[in-house]
Amino acid sequence: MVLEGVRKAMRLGKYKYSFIFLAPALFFILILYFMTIWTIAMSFTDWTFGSKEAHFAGLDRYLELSAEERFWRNVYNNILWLVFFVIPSTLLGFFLAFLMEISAEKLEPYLRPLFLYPTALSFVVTGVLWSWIFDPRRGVFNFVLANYLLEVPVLREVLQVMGITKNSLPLLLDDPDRAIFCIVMAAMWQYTGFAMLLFLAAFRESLLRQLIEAAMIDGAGALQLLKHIILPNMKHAFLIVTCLLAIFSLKVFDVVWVMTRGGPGYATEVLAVYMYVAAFAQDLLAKGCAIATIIFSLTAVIIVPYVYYAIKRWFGL
Amino acid sequence: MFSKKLLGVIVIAIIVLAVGGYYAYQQYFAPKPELIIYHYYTAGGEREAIDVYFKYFKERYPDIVVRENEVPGGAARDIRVVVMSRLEAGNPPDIFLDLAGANLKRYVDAGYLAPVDDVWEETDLIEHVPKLLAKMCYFYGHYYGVPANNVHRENLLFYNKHIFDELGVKPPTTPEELLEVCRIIKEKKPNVYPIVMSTKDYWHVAFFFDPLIYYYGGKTMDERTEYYLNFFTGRVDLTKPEEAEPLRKALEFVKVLIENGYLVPSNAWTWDETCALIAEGKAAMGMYGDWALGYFLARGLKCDVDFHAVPLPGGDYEVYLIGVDAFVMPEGCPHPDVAKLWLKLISEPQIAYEFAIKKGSIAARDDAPAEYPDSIRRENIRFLKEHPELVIPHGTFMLAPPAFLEDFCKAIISFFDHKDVSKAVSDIVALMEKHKVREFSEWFWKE
Repeated sequence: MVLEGVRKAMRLGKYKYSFIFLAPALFFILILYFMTIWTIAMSFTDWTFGSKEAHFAGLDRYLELSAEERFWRNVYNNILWLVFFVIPSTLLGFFLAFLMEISAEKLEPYLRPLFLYPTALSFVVTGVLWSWIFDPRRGVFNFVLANYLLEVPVLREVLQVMGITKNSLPLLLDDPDRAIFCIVMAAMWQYTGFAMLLFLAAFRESLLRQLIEAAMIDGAGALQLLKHIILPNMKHAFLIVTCLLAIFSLKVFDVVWVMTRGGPGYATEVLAVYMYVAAFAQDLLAKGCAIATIIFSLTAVIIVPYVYYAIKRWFGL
Repeated sequence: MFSKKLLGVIVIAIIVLAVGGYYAYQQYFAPKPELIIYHYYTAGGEREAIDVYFKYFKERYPDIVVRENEVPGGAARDIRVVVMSRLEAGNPPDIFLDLAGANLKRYVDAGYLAPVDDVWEETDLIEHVPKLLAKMCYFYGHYYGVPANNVHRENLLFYNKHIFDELGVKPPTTPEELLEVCRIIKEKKPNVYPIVMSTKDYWHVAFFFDPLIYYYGGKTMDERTEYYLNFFTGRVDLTKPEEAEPLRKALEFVKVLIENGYLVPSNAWTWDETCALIAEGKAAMGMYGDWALGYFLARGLKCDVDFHAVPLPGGDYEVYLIGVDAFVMPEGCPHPDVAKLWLKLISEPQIAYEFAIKKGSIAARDDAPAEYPDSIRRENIRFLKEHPELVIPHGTFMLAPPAFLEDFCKAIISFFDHKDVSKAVSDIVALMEKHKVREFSEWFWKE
């Protein structure tokens, strides 16, 4: 009994130090959660810039948003991001990691930094760079299209079917229906390397590596390797990559702001941009909080299964 | 004896150390007076202009530490984010820059600004600046903020003079003439964009569209002015066809420009990038405030040789749409005395003049030197003095609530795409209601 008490005290003593070291992190986490709860609470008020006090307004801000064409356009654009950014970036990242895994080892040290380089850039730099590329009248994209690709007879035929000729080049960032894909492409350029890195880490897990090596000794080809060994053992990597990219898609702001400011009109605007505009350009702070809460809720839908899976995996449950 | 000597040495040493320590503390450690300032003058011309103020301030008050915070973003778009956060958090700067008029009022209504009537009195600003400009800083019986010493003209059509000379066309003074000039440019120089506009800087649209509202607002100057002011203060009932007619005409005109490829708005360009197109001869014209002059001059271009600007509408329909930036002092700012030194310094005629020279504008004070090196400003100052009745506020920026600006400009940008006049009118009606334009802008009609 006494011995048990001593052991318990020792265990507590051990944890005491852990708590001391964790305290700063816990402090910041508490602030974060406090601010999150504060934002959610303020979304149920009529808080505007300069208002002396905020009054409870129930679901008014949410009802207001649900009646706005602009809000639904933002939601639609975020969905476009989920579909056209997450899926291609994941697949491309996986494909690159796979190529690197099966390529000659000497090439990898050169290829990896090449694909990772865009990830190291700031989104502002990426945004400016790609907005120059996609400038419909002076950008490199249309220059290459007009001066090189449209000079190739086969490509010219194909592009003509798509309505692209030298006299009718794509409007890119000025096209309300397609500008969003230009931004998505810029984000893909930046994030594919990141996805590749995560997949590469998964490939390097010793168990999977052993399985791959064993299968290769047995004479398995690249496709067989992919189908029977790699894909079944990479589920967790796919989950992590898609979750992280999906979270990014839901809160994307900087690259959109730098490339188009949400324009032309509201064509490329996403929820995070509208949140910024509502709060700081239109002084509607409660409305900004409501949009932030919606983004948070949508993100939570993705985070919860991700965290569940991560905990299960880490603790071997 | 020995102990007395030692005591003396110790006392002297203590005195020397104390004096030296005090000096060192004062020199290196004592809190010095500071000026914490936020502004958005970062583009070509603007940066050089505000450096004039900083130069004089540092010369005159070398002991004051200037903490300068630049927040790039035209039309005060991004500075508000920073300043609003600081104001809401109860941590205001000493001085910040924003647009006067409607923008200033929202800070005043929120109780965030300190009145600076004493600065206006001591510097004789009341006597020496245009009445309208003073009105843009005057709310509820007090002056809040001091104009950043420029009377911007916001309806100038800048054009590449080489292109105009080569084609032998005269700068247009009416929308009809503009259409004709565009037709000639498009016909004779198909690779040159007749008019360029940034839709990425959505507010740039207002510089083109506001003058059109004025032009189509009536048959006489009085009618035009009345319609324009009523429009941007929410007093026009746009649900009535006869009252919406000028707006419809303005939209129809824009539609013609867009459909013919005369007006080239782009989401890939910022306002200064459109200026660059004009400077490089890739575009012929663009509508800006006179602040664009600062950009062209900073690029080393010569007014009357490489580029020029005319008011639009001009000629018999000429109007001066005024835009004013103001430096303001928040209530409870940490160094109010230093802030007032800044406000007084920028109100001095000579300094105001030197600032205006760089900024591309004209100095607000009538006792400031009036010798400007270019014909654009000479013409502006002449018109300002001779026709004060035709000097009216730039509606979207000075009169309507700031929240309306973004939505209004984006409604016009969307119109560039859908080109449905009726839809655009109903969108604007909804925005006027949403942002309570009439209610907010009542201040303008009160003395």
